[in-house]
Amino acid sequence: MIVEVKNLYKTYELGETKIEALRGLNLSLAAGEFTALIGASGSGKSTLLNLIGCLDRPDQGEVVIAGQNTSTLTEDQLSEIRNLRIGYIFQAFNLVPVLSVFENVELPLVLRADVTPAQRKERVLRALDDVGLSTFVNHWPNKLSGGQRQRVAIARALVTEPSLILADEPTANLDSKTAHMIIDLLLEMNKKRNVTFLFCSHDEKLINRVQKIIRISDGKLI
Amino acid sequence: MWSWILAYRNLGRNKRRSLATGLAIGAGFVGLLLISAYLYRAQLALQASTVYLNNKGHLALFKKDSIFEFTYRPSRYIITLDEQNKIAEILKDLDADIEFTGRYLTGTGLINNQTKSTPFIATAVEPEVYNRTLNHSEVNTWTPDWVFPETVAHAGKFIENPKLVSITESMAILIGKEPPFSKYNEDERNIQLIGKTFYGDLNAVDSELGLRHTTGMALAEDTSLVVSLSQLQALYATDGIQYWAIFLKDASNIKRVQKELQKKIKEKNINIDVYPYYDDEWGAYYVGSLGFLFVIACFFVVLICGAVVLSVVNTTTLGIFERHKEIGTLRATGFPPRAIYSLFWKENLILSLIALSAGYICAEWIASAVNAANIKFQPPGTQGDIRFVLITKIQITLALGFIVLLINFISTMIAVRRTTKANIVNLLSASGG
Repeated sequence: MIVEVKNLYKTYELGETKIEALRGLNLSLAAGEFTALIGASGSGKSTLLNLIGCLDRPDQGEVVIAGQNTSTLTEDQLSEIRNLRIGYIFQAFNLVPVLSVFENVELPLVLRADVTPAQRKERVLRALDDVGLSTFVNHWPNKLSGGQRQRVAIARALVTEPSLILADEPTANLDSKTAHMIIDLLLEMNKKRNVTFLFCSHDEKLINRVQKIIRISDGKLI
Repeated sequence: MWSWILAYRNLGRNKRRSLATGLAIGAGFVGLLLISAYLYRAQLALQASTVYLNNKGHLALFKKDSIFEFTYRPSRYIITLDEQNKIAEILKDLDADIEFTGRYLTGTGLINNQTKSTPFIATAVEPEVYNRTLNHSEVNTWTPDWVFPETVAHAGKFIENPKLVSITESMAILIGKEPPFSKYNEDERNIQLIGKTFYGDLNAVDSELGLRHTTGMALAEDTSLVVSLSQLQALYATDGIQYWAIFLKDASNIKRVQKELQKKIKEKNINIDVYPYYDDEWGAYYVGSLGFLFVIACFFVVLICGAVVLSVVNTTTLGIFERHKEIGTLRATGFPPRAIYSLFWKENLILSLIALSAGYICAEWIASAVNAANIKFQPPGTQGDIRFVLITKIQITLALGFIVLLINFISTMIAVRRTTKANIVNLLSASGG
């Protein structure tokens, strides 16, 4: 299993109000699975994604990524897990505006001492080629369309060759046509690179195209 | 390299804010450099004045407790001829470090012009040494305003005529003999120095008005008298001296020479102490003046550094606030907190280096302009004007630059610390960036 979530609890405090986002949730994802996480707003989708992605810590329970329990790791160790094992695709693309397309994709690799500059360049160009942006290497993010920006973000998520890619509403900021193209691209990458995808979305048309759907309601899987 | 590129490009994101911060750092650095340039100049001037014009030497040998007690019981604290001979032998061994030495005696009495008398506080000097100290390159470089050109030019007259005395303009007015003294005939120039010998008898010696000097201090101008050592020894009926001043070739060797002297004096079993010119008791004026200047300077330095810190913290905090989402993204892609620290620190370092370079050029230009303007002013308590001179020193500039960078680093850490520890989800969901 690439991801194992065991008895996960997460509560947020908003003033004096406590919101139980996850209540004893269990989940497993096998290598190469392409999974959609769906549920109503406030059901706990993003919280689950954040916990699996080591962006947040659970109140209780375990998140095991590629056999490693992340609950006990230090901040630096979690940073390493995020860099080596996990790729993120954000709803708002989250590209660094002062870096070119090439540099944005290169960003997660600059921390890797085991990747030489030549390997880095080769990997970035391959990732950009995979997402169809090989001719845009020197472009700036603000000169790209929304779909192109999201493809840069996908290339950035792929470039470290992670075992898991998490996407939080990756098509929410895109028009319908572009959204389908992005999902096609994600499916293609899933097959080509055998990487596990977990994404959350409200878009039923997109959800219908994935092989596995997980529904979440009130912090529990249903 | 990527982080430097990213840091550099981030500076261009908000050019006006970067410019404002750069100006704050640059202006702060200019302020620090100009304060240090004034202090450095003041310190060198005070040092030259203390060592050479006030005859304190770099080191001075006194009988134990003599600094305070000599005035009251000179016969007890005098360095006798026998002790002087022993000291001379010790000083021979330190010839490599010593430029020259001088023996001094101070005392009080009355100067009498047959019709008028006024009290004096005399400093007795060896004529050759007096000539040497007044013509010393350090005096010429740092304190040319604190000595009359004619005093320097005529300093050698003591050698020709040890009976000459040098008085201040104020004292000359008090005894009714205004300079130049050359306008008076020999009889009119004759004066008497009257005092009590170290053994309690009243004594007088004939002297001649010949030279004019200034102490540089308003309080001392009415009573200061410079006379040859032999004359004052004759007045006090002694062959002793109050102290022996040592002028070193290199002032940076003071501590070492002082230690060696103390060791040799102990070996010879002489009851003598060695004081540097910056000793709290012996160099009280030097220590006090410099201490006062440092306190004033520290006040301004704290103000300037405070302004720089606030400016950097403010700018960095705003920059961070606007880039929460970007920081969250970097963290999500595996950047540890220290990499985020490093990124912001590099941004501020680049900005600081540019601002410091500009500040340095600006400070040098201001210093040159001020020096060229030949501005003169009269500091409180001093006699006459002195030139306002600013002198920068590369070591001080580098040290101040380092301090500004350190302040910048700390300010950045203060501003970034909280954000790097913030929850990544919160950073990613922030509205900024």
